[in-house]
Amino acid sequence: MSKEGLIVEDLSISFVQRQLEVVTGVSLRIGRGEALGLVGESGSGKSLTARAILGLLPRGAVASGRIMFDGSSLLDLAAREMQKLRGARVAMIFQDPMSSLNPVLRVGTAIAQVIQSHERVGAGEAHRRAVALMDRVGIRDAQERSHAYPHQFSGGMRQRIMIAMALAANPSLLLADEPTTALDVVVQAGILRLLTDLRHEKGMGLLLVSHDLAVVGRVSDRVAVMYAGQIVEEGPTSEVLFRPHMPYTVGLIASVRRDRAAARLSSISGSPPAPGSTSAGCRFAPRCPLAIDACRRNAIPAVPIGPGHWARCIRTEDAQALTAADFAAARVPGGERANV
Amino acid sequence: MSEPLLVAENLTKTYQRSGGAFGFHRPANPALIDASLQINRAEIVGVVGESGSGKTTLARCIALLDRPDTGRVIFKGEDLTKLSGADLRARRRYIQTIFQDPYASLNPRMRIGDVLEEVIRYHRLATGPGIAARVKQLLDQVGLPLSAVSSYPAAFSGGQRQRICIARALAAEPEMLIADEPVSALDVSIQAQVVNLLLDLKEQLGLSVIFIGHDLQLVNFIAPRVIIMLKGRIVETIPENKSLLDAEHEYTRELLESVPRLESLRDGGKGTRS
Repeated sequence: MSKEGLIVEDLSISFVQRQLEVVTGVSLRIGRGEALGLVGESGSGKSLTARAILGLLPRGAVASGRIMFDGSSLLDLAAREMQKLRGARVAMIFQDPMSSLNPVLRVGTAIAQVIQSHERVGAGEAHRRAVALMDRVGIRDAQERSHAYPHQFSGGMRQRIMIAMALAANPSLLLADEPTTALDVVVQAGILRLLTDLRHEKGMGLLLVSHDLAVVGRVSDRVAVMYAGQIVEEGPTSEVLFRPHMPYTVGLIASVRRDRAAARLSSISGSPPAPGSTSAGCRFAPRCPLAIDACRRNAIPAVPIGPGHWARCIRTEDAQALTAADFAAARVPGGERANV
Repeated sequence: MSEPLLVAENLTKTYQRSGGAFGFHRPANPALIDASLQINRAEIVGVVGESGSGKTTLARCIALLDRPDTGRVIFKGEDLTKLSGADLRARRRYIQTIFQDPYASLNPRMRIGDVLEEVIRYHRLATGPGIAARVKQLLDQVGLPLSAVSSYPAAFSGGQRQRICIARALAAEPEMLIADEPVSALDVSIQAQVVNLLLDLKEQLGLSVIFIGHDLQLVNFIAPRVIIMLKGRIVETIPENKSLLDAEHEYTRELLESVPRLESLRDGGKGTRS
């Protein structure tokens, strides 16, 4: 297997003081130019997984396991080495572009600074390249707009500026954490097209973190579904989205169907467990219409389904036949549980 | 056909910008221009548009949370824009609003039982032991356990908090509910639960609902009739029994194509729309 690209093995993340494990045994692989979509609901650990790659975990969170990028182990890098890698070879964009941009810096200057922090180029050349990048990410009148401040741009344009900054050092991997969640659908469509184009044009790897299956489906080659800190299913995008084998994935996909003939939307009863409240067995079992005693007893292994496709479920054969009615019938005792 | 519950006619609203840099007055764009809408009893009407299109302003003007500059809001035959003070407050009870962010709309220091009780007492809708009975009934209606009474908002997940907000709105015994992006901040598996709850309440209580959102297909699932807004104007109304695919306005079609759909990926592989 090639050592190029990103390899995450058995990554766990814990808040040590509170003794909470929030991510458990996550393994991922993104080859050069590949796009992986990491899907999950809030609290599933998807953002923390992405942040751990660049050592950007919040205070008190500790990662264990292995994160390899182009052959070097990122969890062992000294702070200075990590700082060199950040932006230069692996860049990251976030959900909220306004809070990630310096409000008192003209955007052209901000992008130029990124270029100059990674390469020895003059101010004029850096600014010229900043304008070219703004143009590339679809900002009209880039030359003129490069003198504007972040607040003078709309949310979608700010996200384009963030992408331009991320591209400034020609990274070989881009981590995008919910990059379009704060944006309107029309603007979102533009950003997704841009990410896809850039990936093909620059051969850049992409880790797209999102709660939206359809968004992920549009841009990624492979999809990994996270639930309560674990990856519960992973495989080629079309396999996972159209032939899901883990009941949670099946339920999630059913809940975004908009069948006007149906009287109600399909929904999964209950809500995800709070970190630390999970038992040894399957973490989805309390909400799963197929759960049997064996699901609750022991840790569930990754069950192979097809080439590159696996699910953390011992009832994958029955999962595909699940319908909206099954999920509606799976009543969680006591309704939704409070996250206390 | 009986008389509509509410008719909004030619509503226009411009928010005055205060000051600007060094007190220079910047011209303000109207947030809502000549918008009209009517809603029948036990009907759900959808309102869709991008941010800044005037959806929320329309909702706020209908609920008289903001006073429209021009136009009328006729609720059960009475023009609410003519009312003020105690008269307006008394009518407001009938039109309740729930907002996008259930985290921001609940007082973190109030127990859920007290939140509901406050509304019931304010409107004098029950007394003595009747209050506790009504609180219990409300929690039951929105699918929350009775134990929620003595818990604080922090103990609940986003979907549950939105249920609390819905219970609080119902506590006033409204005839109409304005739901301003009620599921946009929720996880997908929870969104469906809240949408289904609103559909149940419409049927059980005969509530009229204005459901605001930006996902056209989701809104059209819950609301047979959908209004499309762009730059403060209503640009298209998709009537009941008409498919979104027949939408005429260019912007509506753009909205429709922009929402990534799993179904659209099935055939085209990587649906990179060009």
